[in-house]
Amino acid sequence: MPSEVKPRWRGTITLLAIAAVGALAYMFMPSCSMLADADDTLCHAIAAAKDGVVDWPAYDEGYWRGPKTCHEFDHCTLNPWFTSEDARAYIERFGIAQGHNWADLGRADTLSVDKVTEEVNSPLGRTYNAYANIVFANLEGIELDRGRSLNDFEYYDTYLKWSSAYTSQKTYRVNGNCVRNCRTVESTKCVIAKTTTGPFRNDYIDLYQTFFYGIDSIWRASTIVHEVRHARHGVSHDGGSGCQNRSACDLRWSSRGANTFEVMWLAAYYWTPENHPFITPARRARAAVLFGQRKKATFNEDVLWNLGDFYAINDTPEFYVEQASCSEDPDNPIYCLILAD
Amino acid sequence: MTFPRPAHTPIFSAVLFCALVQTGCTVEDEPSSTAGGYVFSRDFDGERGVLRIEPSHERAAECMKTSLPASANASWKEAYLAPETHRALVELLFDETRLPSYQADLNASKASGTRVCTPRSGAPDFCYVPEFVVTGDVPTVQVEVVVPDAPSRFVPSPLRFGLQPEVELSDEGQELIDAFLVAHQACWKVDD
Repeated sequence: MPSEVKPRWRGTITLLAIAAVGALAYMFMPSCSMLADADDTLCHAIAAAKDGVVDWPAYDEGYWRGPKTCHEFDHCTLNPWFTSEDARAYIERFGIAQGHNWADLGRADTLSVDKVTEEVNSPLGRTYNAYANIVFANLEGIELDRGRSLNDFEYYDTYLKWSSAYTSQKTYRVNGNCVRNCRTVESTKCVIAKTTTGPFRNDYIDLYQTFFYGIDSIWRASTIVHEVRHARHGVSHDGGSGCQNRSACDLRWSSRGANTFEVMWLAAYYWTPENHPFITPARRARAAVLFGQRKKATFNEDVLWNLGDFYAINDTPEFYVEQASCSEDPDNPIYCLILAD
Repeated sequence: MTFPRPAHTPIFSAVLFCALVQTGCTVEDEPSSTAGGYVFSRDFDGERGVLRIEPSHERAAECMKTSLPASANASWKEAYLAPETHRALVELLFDETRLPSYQADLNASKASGTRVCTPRSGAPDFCYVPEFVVTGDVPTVQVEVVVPDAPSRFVPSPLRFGLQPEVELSDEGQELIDAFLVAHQACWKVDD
C-alpha cells in the first residue's frame, strides 16, 4: 500500500511545483516586454518622494505650447468628484477599482492640488477628471444607471448616456502606469494608453504618463472611449501605419473601430446644450478641435462626416450607434448609410 | 478494474502548461494614438506624404509616402532635419500674422474644393480630397458648422488648404506648403 501512495504524492507535488512556476510566470506576463522607457519622470518622482510627499510632474511643455486654456479642465473646483465621495465611488466602477498600480501611483494623494494653479495633480486625480467628462456630460451625472442593456435606447436616450454605459460595461480593468512609453527619449511622441488582450490571461488597459500629464482631460476622456472599444468587443486597428498618426490607424470610418467611437463621442460631447452646467465653452471648443484633428489623423481614408452632421447625435443615439458608425463602407453599401458627396 | 497510471503524466502536464504560458504571452497590444509634435499631411495626385516634426529645438522628424488609398503597411522613415529647415517650418506655422491668410485658405477650400475619385478595377471607386492639412497643437482657424433650422456657428479647426485647381491659395499658404515639401524631401534624403 505505501509503495502505491508514494508515486501518487510525488506526482501531485510535481504538478503543484509546475503550477507554482506557471503562476509566477503569469504574474510577470503583463510586462512581457521587459524594456522600460528611460524617460519615466513619474516613476522617478514617486521613487524620490520625501516624507511621503511626491513632487508630481508638471504638464508636458511640448503639449502646453498649444491651448493653454485647457489647464482649467483639471481645476479642482470644476470637477464634481472632488467634493463627492459618491462620485468618486461611481467613477471607480469604470474599471479603476479593479485596476493595478494605483496605490503605488499615490491613491492616497488623489485629492492633492497644485498650490499655484489649483489643478488636481495626481495620476488618479487626472484620471478621475477624464471620467468626469464621460459622467458629468450627462445631466444625470452619477444617477445614470450604467447597467442596463445597451439596446435600451428609451433609457439611454442620448449618445452620451449610451456611451457612458458602453464605457462602463465593456471595459477591462484600468491600470495606472508610471512609464512614459515614448518611442525615443528625445521624442515627445508618446503612447497615451494601451489595451492588452490575449488568451488565458487577465486583460487590461494601461494608462501611461502621457495620459496623465501630456494631454488635456477631454482628450483623456476620448482616449478612454477609444481603449474600451478595443476591450471586451475586441475591435483592433486595421489601418496599419497608413494615417497621419502613424500607429493606431483605422482603415476607414466604417471599420467601426476605436477611432470611430472616439470621434463620435467627441461630436456628442460638442453637441450638448449651450447652457450645460459642466461643458463650458472652452471644453466645447476643445472637443471641436480634437474632433477635427482625430478625424483627419487616425483614418487612412477620408472621413466624410463633419461636426455639423452630428447635430442630432444626442437626440437619436440609436441611429448613430447602428447606422452612422458603419456608414461610408464601399464594400457594404446596402446595409449601411452612404453619405452624399 | 484500475488502469496503470502513465509514468509520463507529470512531464506531459509540464509541457502543456508551459505551452499555455507561452500562448498567454502572445498578446495583442492596441495603442491609442500618440501625442506630441506637429503633423503635415498632403494628399495630392494619388499620393499621400506626411511629415511629423517635434517642437522647439528638437529636430527629430518622421516622414511617410504612400499611394492613395493609403495601405495599411505604409513605411515611415525617421531622420533629423537641418536646423534651418526645421526652423522655417515652425516659424511659418506659429507666425500669428499669417493666420488670416490661413483662414482665407480654409474658407476657399470649403467654398470650391471638390473630391477626386479614381476607379479601381474590381473595387468601388476611391475618392479623396486633394488637400494639405496641419494637425497637432498648432494655431487653429475657424470653420463654419451648418445646422439645419439653426444659425450656423464657427468652431476651431486644423489648418486646411485645398489643392484642387479651382482653389486659389494665398501666398502665405503656398509658402507653408513649399516649406513642407522641402522638409519632406529632406527627411527622405537625410541619413538617420
